[in-house]
Amino acid sequence: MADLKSLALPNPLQTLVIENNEDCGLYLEKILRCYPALLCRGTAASVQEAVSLIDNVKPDLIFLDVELDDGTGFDLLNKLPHQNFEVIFTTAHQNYALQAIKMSALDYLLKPVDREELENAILKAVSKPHNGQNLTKLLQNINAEHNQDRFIGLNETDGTRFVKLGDIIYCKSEGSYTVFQLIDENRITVSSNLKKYDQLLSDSGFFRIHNSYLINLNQINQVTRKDGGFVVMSNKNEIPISRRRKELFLQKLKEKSIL
Amino acid sequence: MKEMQKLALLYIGFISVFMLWGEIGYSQPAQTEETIRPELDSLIRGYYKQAIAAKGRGEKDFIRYADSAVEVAAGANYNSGLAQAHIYRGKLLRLTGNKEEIVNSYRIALALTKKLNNARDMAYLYRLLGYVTFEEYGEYAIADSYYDTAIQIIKTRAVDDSALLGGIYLNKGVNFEKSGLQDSVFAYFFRALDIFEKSKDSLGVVQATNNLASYNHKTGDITTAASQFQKALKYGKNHLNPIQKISISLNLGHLHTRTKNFDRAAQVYERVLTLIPDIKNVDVKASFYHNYGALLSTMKKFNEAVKMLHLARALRKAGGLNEDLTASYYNLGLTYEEWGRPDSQKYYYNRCKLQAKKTKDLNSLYLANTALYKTYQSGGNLSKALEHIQKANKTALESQNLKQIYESYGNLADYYNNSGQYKKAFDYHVLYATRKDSFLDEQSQNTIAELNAQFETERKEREIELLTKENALNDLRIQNQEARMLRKSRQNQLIFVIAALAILSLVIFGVLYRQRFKALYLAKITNNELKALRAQMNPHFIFNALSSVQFYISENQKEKAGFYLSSFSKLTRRILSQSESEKISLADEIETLRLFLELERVRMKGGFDFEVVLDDHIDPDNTEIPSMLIQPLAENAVWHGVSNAKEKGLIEIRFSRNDDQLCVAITDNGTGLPDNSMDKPASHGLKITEGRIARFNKSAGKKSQLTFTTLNPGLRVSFSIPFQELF
Repeated sequence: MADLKSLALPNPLQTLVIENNEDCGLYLEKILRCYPALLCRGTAASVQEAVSLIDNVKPDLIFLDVELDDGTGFDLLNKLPHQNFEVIFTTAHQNYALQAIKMSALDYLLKPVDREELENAILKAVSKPHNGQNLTKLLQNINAEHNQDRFIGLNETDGTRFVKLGDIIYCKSEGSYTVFQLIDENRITVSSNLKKYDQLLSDSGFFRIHNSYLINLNQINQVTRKDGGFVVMSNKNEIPISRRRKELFLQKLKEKSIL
Repeated sequence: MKEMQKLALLYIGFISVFMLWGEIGYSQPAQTEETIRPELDSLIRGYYKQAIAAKGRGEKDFIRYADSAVEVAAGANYNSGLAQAHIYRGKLLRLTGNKEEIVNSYRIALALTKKLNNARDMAYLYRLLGYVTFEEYGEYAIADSYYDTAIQIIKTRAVDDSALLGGIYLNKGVNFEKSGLQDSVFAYFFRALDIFEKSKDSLGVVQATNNLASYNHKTGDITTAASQFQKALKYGKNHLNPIQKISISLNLGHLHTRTKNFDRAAQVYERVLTLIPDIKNVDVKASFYHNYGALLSTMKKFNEAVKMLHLARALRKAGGLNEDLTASYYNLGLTYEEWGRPDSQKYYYNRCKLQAKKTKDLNSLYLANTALYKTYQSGGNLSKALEHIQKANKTALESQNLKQIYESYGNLADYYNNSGQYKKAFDYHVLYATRKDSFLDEQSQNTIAELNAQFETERKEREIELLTKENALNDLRIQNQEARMLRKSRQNQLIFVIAALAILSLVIFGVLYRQRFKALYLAKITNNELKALRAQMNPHFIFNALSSVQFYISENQKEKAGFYLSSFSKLTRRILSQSESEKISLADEIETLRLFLELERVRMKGGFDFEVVLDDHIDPDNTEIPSMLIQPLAENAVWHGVSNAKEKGLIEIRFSRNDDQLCVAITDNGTGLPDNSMDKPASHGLKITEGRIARFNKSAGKKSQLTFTTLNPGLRVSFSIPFQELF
């Protein structure tokens, strides 16, 4: 990996730090001075301050705290008509917001910030075309009323492809790859393991029914007890139920039908 | 000095037990005939009676009569009289509490009875010694061995004295009450009851029944207790003196009151009322009036209640029963309060306060002050109310009664809240909350300590019992050896084999019993305490890590501090989320372990290497493992293993699969176990892990422990748990 500390760009990235914890903001600002590729142009602690700062500076990169004084980082993004800048989110804890950020395949840093992770994030921001599409999807996800209306960003070789959760029938593990089976009979293969998507989607109507399968509970046509039990999905595919997961699965189904 | 005496007593106690077995088992005691000398016997008894009379007159040196009896018997060279005189002297000394002298007298008497070869008196004296040891020294184990010696003599020498034997069983039961061993208490009381019933000893039956009832009462089985008290009263109808009848009735009445059978309680007390005229004992009489009054008060018969309470008060005042008088005043105050007579209420609570001050009875003083606070509060006299609640608080702090301390802070908070001084109310409320917490904390600590103590005593008890049985068998063997002189050896060999088998089975029984008890005990504590113990493990680690960060900062090693801090946060995040689930995937556990070891490596001077090795047959993503199970073992390998390694430290954590078992081995190249410790190390975290492993294996019907293998150099800690897949 290129040493970021000696990487100089002809036009350094105009950078803003929007952070409601003052110490944390100052720390980031100080650290960023080590990297000539970035030029830190200011800090803000609230949505209001940030809006005018962004208006003035026209930044290329923003470090954005999820929790701000008078709202959230998402509120801020909602207020901006054009998001032609990169965003690296920062947050202190793992919560719903982080799930949403991960789903939109955006970069984030957990506080306190790890130098290596910071450098990785900056490198990506420097080398990647700007991620406006991801931000748009993030905002859609945050504002979506039904979880099946949310989008998940799948990183393919030629960029991020967004898929609506309601369009996924199941995900299948293929070693360290994951295959997404969609309702339009298309398949998408991504180079992340199934565990990652299990963690990401288990709150959005998906269930790990088997070591190799994560299914969309909304796409089940039938549950059979035959042959140790399997489910028939909307595309007629049969997926086995792991013995150890059966009880939990039936319980999940029950909860869902109540909802 | 006191400790020395105690030690000396211990020493004497064990020696004598040993000598006794010696006498019974090995040698024929010297037979000494002595003519009974009735005139001297009656003279000695006369001195005893004189001493009691002198004590009744309040003479301080009433012991001199006992000394005279000893002189007379010694002068006449009359051993059995001298022994009796010493027994009397010991009994009289019990009234003075001079424990060394009591033991002295009993020991001399014991030596004399041994010389006279009087088995019954020997047993009797061992019982007395046991009783003194129990009552005056509180040495339950020693007392118990004295009792056992006495029982031994009675059985081996065929002493025909069921009253004595039954009495000893009662003593043993009472002894076990102190160590909290319920089963043993009941067992001995029932054994005593059995003996008394067989020998038709009504008084004994009453005594045993009464003891059983009291103990049932104490352990909360109120119904059984009540029926047993009733039985005791029935059997004792013609044997008990009125005072004994009354004290049993008072217990019975109290039980009925507790179970809210007020009418039955009243019946019991009414029957006592007919006995009262014959009673001269002020104490008993007053207690009866007091209890009856309290009952009537609960039944809202205030008129009669007050009458009874006043009778008790008057008797106690006249009889100089100052401590009890305080309670009388308090109950009067309480009764008037419920009756709605504020003036009398105030008056008697105040008397109670003064009396409590006089007798320096802090508990009553607190109760009185609190009662007065409530009295003045509801009477609208706020300044007086404040004054008393402050006094109550002061008293509670002085006596260090934790419950009263938090209670009184709570009352203070209430008071200030009611009077609108919210800042003060808040401050006191904070004090209340923290004190209450620490009180509850202490309580749960005590429960744990109690459970521990119970386990230990039960174990000791078993051991003592085993020893006794073993000794009995030894004696049997020795007798058999003698028989061998007469008969041929073959039969004896058989007996020897039987004896050996019996000993062996006893030992096995003991071991099994102990294990079963330990399992029960563990199950008991795991449920409640496992969570608490686990929570304790994390802070320890957290603060160590923070200290390291502090050190790097002070050394100006900014990079290291930053790295350490962010790795630490990562680990903490993992631990927090994993501690929510009982089980996690092996992959997650390994990742956490890596992070943990990575951090420890930075912290240790010279560093160390580590390696996690995984069997090919294991898919870490689909293998389940209890969360945070291995971390304490890894920590141990770091701080007790590689930190002392001669070469560069190396830790290997290996997971392998053996059929349905997941085997885990943590190996380090440190110095191994210290030479002097034959046992495994006993760190807090290790104990927790060991307990959890045992629990997981128990639920799968398996047994597995931590196994410690010393290597050259190093140590391997291994264990196995049931292999379980996630999906």
